[in-house]
Amino acid sequence: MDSNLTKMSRGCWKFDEEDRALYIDIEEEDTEEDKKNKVYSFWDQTPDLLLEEIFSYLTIRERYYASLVCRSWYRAFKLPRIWSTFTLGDNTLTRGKFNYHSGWQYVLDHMRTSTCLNKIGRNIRSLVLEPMLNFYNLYEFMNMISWYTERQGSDNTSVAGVGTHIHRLKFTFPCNMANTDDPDNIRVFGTGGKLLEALKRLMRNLRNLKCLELIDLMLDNKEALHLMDDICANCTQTLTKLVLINTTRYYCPLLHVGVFINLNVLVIGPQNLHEDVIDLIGYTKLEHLHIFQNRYSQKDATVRLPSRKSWIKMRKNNPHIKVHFEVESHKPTDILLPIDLVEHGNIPCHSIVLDIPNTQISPSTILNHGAFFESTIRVYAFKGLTRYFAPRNFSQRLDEAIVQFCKMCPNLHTLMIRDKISTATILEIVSTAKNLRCLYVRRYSVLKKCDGDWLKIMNWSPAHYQWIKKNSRSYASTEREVSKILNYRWYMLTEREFRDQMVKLHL
Amino acid sequence: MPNIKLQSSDGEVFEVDVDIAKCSVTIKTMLEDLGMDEDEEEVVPLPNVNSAILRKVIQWATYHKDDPPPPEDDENKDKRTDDISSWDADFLKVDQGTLYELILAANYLDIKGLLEVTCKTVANMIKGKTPEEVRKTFNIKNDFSPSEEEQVRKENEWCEEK
Repeated sequence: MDSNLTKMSRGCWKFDEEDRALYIDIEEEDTEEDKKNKVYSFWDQTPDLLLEEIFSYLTIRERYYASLVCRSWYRAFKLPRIWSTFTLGDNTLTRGKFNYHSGWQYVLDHMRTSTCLNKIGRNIRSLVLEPMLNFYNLYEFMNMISWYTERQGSDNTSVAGVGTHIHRLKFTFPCNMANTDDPDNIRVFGTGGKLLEALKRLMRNLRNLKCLELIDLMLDNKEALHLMDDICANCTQTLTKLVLINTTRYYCPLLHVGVFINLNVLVIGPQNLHEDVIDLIGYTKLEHLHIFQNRYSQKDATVRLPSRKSWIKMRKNNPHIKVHFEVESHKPTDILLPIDLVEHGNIPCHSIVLDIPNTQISPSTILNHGAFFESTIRVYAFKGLTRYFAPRNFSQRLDEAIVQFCKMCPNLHTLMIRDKISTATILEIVSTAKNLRCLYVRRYSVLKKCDGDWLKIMNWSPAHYQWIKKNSRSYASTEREVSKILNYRWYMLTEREFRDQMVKLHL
Repeated sequence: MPNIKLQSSDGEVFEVDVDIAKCSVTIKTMLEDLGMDEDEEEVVPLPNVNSAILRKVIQWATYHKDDPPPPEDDENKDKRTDDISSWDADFLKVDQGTLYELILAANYLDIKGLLEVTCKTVANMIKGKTPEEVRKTFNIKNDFSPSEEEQVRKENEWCEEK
């Protein structure tokens, strides 16, 4: 078993004669003679700069194992930059402890944590606190960082510089941990009390934050109003990115977000916006406002975005601002965009990204989005693999609405379609949307046909009809024609490629 | 679109779209510093990259030419290695020698995206392995004396989960 694993791990990729990559398993063990004549590789001579980059992707333990490989990799272990991101998860720097109530638990090992902070603490630039089930560890760790930051080496047990260089703090609260096994029936609860105190103490101590991300805190309104007090005082100038997703469960305007004069990106839930917030944002240099809802966001219709006139005013004061709507939920009961179309046509909406695979989008929704954001919208994406029945019939598909949308929105740059569409429609899309650069479709959902319905609704010239008819007959010819128009090798994505495809919003 | 000519260390000349070549910061700066005109018949020499590797690099850059420029402060990104796109994963199914040379070339040519994805690939080859398994995977000689190895073990054992 063991030797099999070793053999497998020694395999590698090679080229065959036709330049194709092949995976080679190395089966033979080295004999004594081989060992004497063995030629070693060049990996131990990898320049430090590159080892730094490679090691930065490893966990603490993996870095330790890598440091035991050879002398030069041991040297790399000590390079400051590999420690620049520190991620705390449930098992980081812990030891097993037996507890009569719940059996073995992994509790933070204070000795090892201090050794760690003494050795590499001052190299930390980005601190990521993952959603953890063990609140004790989270609480203790945050307080240890705070303690080091407050002491700054004034006694003999701690070193100075821990926390000074932390530019980024990301904190995700596991707000659904009461029900992790049952994603359909999420009962959300928020943080608060001691844990919130420790987080606020930590934020107070990090004075050079450029990026702060607080996700799913689900605070009571009373607590939320004072969450950012210290950050506002310390980081007014430094903060460039602020992410506040589900800071509260219910409607609660957070005026604090408007005071960071150098803020470039703000990601916020609709429940925390208000006319005054939009007003304040107008006076900043903010470039990207993401209105973000995830699966824990409230799905009732009580959340309303600020009204028309506040958006008009914001646009006047800050004409560079781009609004991105994002919804991410894999739950069957779904969250809808909080846009009331009559009220919100003046939002400078650049992107709509819906990652809600359980919810079918209707043609009228697409046409509404097009009608209201026609001049600004550049990215329109339905992500994920559909989990509902997708009809094949032209009148029940989205083809017509999508082509109409492309006509209305001349600046469209990226379009992602997960529903069934036909090859003819794809050809019509690329000949309609003149500024389209990225088009993502699922090969699996593309129907190889030239729908007769198109002829009834469109006034195609005979030449255009011939072109579509001829090239919609096979995937290969559709791909070839689209490639010609987009001017790069375009192809339909496999299910996996489609699922993993990222959509870039900051164009 | 205008093309430029790139010459590999072994003398082969590649004609490449300027926009694609410019995803290499090194080439971009060279063109700007030398004030090379795009219609001039000048050849840019790349003495540190051989033709096999340069061909791969151009293939990568052509596919990724429409990617937006990477953000300047990548500290704001989570350090993940499971987000390699399937095209890149396929592209990097090469032998270790090629992978190593691609990393060096990405570094020399200063192509951030290629450097990132190649380093992630190497990191994935290290992940979950013991020191001995890593040595075997990469064919690296253990040049520690037993006492040195013991010392490193002691020094860094705080990293080991218990």
